[in-house]
Amino acid sequence: MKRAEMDKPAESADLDAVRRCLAGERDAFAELVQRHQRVVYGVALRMLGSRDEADDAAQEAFVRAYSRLSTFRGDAEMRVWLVRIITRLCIDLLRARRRRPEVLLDDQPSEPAQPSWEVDVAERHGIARAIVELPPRYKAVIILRHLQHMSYSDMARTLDLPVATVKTHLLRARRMLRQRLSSGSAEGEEVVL
Amino acid sequence: MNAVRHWFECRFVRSALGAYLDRELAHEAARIERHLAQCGRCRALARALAAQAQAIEGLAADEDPRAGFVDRVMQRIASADSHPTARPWPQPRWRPSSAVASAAAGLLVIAAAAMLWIALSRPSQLPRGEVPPPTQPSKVAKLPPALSQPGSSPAVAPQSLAASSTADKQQLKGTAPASAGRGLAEAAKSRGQRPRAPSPPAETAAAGEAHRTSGRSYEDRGLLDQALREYAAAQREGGSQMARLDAARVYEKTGQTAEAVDELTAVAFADLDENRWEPLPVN
Repeated sequence: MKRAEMDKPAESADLDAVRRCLAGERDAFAELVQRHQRVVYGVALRMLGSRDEADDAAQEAFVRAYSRLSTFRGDAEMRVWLVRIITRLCIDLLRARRRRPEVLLDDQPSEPAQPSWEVDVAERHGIARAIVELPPRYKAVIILRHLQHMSYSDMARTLDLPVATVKTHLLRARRMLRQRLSSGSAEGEEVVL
Repeated sequence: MNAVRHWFECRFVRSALGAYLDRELAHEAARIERHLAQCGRCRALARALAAQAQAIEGLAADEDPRAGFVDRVMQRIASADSHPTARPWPQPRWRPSSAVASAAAGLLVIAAAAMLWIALSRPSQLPRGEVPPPTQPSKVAKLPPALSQPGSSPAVAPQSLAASSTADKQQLKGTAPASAGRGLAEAAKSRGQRPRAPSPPAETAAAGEAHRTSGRSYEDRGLLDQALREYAAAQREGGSQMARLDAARVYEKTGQTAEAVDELTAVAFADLDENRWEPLPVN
């Protein structure tokens, strides 16, 4: 079952919360945060590669969403709207800081008892690390497509890009991932993606 | 299947395979399936792409933030004292009344009329006998002939694809050299072929399935080969949207559908950026 089909009741609950919030009931926004925190934080974590930064970015995304709630018209899902906000925010952060993701990944986990997902997964597959190392827009298209299961047109709207550019970004991102993943392996012929 | 056709089919499949696996391809799925059934290299690529997608999707999409996340967000909202009903950007503090606005508009009209009258009544400041310079043509008028209406200008022969990248930019700036209109037309002339009328731009081709041009498949392979090479050279020099449109024209000439043209130009750009350009086979 598609994610969109599963979320129909949640969608109407979202609209209800937005209405109440716009009517002055600030606590109604807490319901939205509660419902979408995993998605927003998940995207931030994949984009930024650090729990601390992801937590901060996810908070900032919700604050922005709150201040712009009057612009949410309900023609798109709340989830898609929030993913758009957090994705653009993360792209801006990555560009502004111009920091190498390795630095973030190599940081000591802030909670040693609970190893961070990136180190754990990178050791097992290398795929999470390869994604974090992609350029911001390529990382975004991979995350939106494969983890958020967005259509090309939704991705285009989210990133404010033409669909053709989204396709080109996906093609390049997949090639880059393949190159990075196969460079360390013993595979013979390189498959061009 | 000859080598050129196979080159195109592989190229198309390479470019569109991602969209095919993502179920985002509208009309060309059967074509890809036919090709995959007979091309081992593309089958291997399809398997690699599918495995990669599976590996990515094996990662958790959503993650739990640290405990207390909702409270932290709500505290931040409270401390920012923002309001959801607030407009996203500030409104002007002062708004002119309608009477003031009408007066300002009236003054503008009078000023414009006075300037026009002065301009028309002044004699020309050019020295006697000097021909006034031609007015700078608009950007629309400066579009390369390949992208303008066929037959609208004597220079309707398609331009050099190599020139189109750099010269189009120069033309848009009004600095195009006189040699900017060479290329395919000259290449065709040197082979004793008649220059072809330009094909419609890619946007026109994207209008739909009705634009299928399979009847003309590969009839001018030599011309196509040179065009692709020139296009590649243009791309290496910096590339431009014009070069992309030229590439779309080239692919159209090979009888590609609008959807295939779109995919092929996308992969051409990616290939050229990464220096992966694979030239057409020599028969």
